[in-house]
Amino acid sequence: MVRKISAAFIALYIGALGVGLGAHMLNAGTVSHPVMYYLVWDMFCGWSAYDTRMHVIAEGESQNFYRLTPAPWGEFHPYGMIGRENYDTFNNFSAHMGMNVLKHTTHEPITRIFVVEECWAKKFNLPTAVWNSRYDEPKDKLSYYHVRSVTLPDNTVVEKNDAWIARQGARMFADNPRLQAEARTGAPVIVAPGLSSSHRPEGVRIPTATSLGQMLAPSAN
Amino acid sequence: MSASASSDNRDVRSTDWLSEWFFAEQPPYGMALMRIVLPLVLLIDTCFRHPWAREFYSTDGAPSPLDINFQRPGMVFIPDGSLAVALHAILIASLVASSLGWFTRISLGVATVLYTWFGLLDALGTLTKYTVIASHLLLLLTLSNCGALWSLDAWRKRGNGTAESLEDNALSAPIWPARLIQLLVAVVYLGAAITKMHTPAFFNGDQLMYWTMTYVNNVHPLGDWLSQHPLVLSVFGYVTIVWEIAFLFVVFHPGRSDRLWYKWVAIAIGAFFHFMTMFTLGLYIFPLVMFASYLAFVEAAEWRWLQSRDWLSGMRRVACWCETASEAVFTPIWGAERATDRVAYTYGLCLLLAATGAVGWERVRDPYQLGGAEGPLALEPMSEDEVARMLGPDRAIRPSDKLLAVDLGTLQIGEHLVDCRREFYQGEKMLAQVTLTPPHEDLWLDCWLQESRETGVEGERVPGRSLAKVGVPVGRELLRANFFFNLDESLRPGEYFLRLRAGRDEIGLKRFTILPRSGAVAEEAAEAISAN
Repeated sequence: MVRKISAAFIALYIGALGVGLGAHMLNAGTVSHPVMYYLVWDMFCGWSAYDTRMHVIAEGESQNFYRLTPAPWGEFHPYGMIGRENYDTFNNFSAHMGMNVLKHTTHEPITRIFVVEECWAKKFNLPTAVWNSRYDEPKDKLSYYHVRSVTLPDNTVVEKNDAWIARQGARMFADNPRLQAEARTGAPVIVAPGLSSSHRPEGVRIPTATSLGQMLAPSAN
Repeated sequence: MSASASSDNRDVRSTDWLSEWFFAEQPPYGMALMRIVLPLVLLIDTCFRHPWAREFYSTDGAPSPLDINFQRPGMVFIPDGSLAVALHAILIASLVASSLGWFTRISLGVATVLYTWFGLLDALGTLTKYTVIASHLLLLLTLSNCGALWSLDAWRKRGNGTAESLEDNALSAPIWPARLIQLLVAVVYLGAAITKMHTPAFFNGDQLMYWTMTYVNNVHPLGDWLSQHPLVLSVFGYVTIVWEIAFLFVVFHPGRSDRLWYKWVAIAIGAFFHFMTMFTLGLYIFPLVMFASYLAFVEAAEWRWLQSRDWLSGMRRVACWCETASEAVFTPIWGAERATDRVAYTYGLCLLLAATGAVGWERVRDPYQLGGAEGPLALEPMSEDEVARMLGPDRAIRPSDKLLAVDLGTLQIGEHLVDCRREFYQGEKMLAQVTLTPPHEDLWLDCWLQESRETGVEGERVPGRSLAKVGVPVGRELLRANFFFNLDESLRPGEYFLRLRAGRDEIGLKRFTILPRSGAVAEEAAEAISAN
């Protein structure tokens, strides 16, 4: 009996590993359920050319702003030298982390919580000695800031944006007069009962992050 | 009839082989070693996170459950603050007990459940692929009889006379949990290879180059150096993927029993690969988890061979010391007969003390510092400059940020310049390679060759008269552009500059020196050089 149960477990386990491997190979269903995270071995999910840090800040009624990360009681660096909020690639938790700081600190009434992404070219990460051996220019790091989301204290999300790198990719993709002209005439038409006319947006449509595929490669662990 | 019988025989043989492979009975040397080592590795991460348990894993903090990322909220139960702290302390205690082999199966079972659950509660700072691998390993250890050796359980049973000696194979058990771990390791590497195949720009080294320039892990001094040598990274990329695929076939080579060489060569390469990721990528715990998983490959015959080596005498001394220490510590508590009920009470008491002690210590510690003289901590306002910088309008990418580097050399392999240098002899054909940073739009790049001139400050030179200009278009999908210059004798020895422009924007500058050709007299002509 024990042997039969063992054999069933072996079959089940190898089958689960096979499902994960197959889904990964065919790129099908890899995010269909949290259990897939335990079966798909994608340890190298792509790295962008820009480094990213996340900042969570709050706006008070007096229009003063307050940093919510790092928290005033300290910050844990889970995998090296940066805080936990920096691993929030999909921006699902950063605002909530800010609210936890608000919950445990004294402050004026807060009106909005901003999640701001800071990005810079990774070449500026090089140590000075390596930089000097390769570059003749001084190291002139420029950070780009981009609001990822705006949340009200009652947890209502009033604005949510693509990652900065995806937004830049979209801008460059749209920097094409022919494409812009065709986009103006190529707006979607919906023909369905109950709809009296099609919707035609003004201006040029910027492609969304999902249409940019590989440009979205997150700089996460 | 005979064909059918032959087919049946083949089926029986293959079934027998499979059955033997999974259900052969051996003393669990490898699994016992892993049981000792793996929990110690996981304790590093777990202990560092314990002071943050309330913040990371409870409703009184900011947990980041994995189900949210998969758009299935509500699947993971989130405890309140004190319960999270108590259960996290029990996780630590159960990992310690697992390593000691104290109520091994129960301890490993508790550790498996709690370790996996805390991972699911914190997708940002706890859950990563090595914690997933560790969850698999803990589960399979739970199902094995790894506590039968080198454990408090085994020592206790010897004391009360219920354990039998190794020689009569009383400790032997089916080897299938170890086999499943071996398969898991092979599948993990195969999956990693598939990921690399799916990853754009992996094989030309660009993805690895940006990874080595990324600072989200620990310091990685070798990575800084490697990032300047993408060709080396490209070669390593190919070697890695070949090894990751070959591992499955080499590690289970049928000659493994007679010729250990195949399996252990594959494992040694793996160990070297993981060891190097400490220095190239700043990964510390991941390699340790993988090293622990390799212990499942140690089979009984191999361990007996190892035991016969003199150099293992040190390990035997450690084992004797552990046994003496166990006698000294536990005999006064459990008595000479080491009765099961006393041992169970002590075990339960330890878990209870761990939980209550952690909750009490956390109250004293006050992680959010709510009990200060002035109440909770106050938030400090940000400066106006900082706010303006963060919340100002989005900037387009600066032209110079679209350039990764300009490198000079003469020899190219694949896409990469091999002999990067700044000194050239007259008569050489110089290649200036421009590497761009994604994303960038379609660009027109101009490369200007200019003399240098003095600025009046001693030793300082700046670009002077322009001698040549070459331009090329670079599509948005391309990351490299090459400019060739024939450094003939019309160029006098001395310092020169290459200036790179994208449209009207200057994006790069590179200084180099032309040396006289050996044995030749430099001509004075100052004609423009020929360029492509």
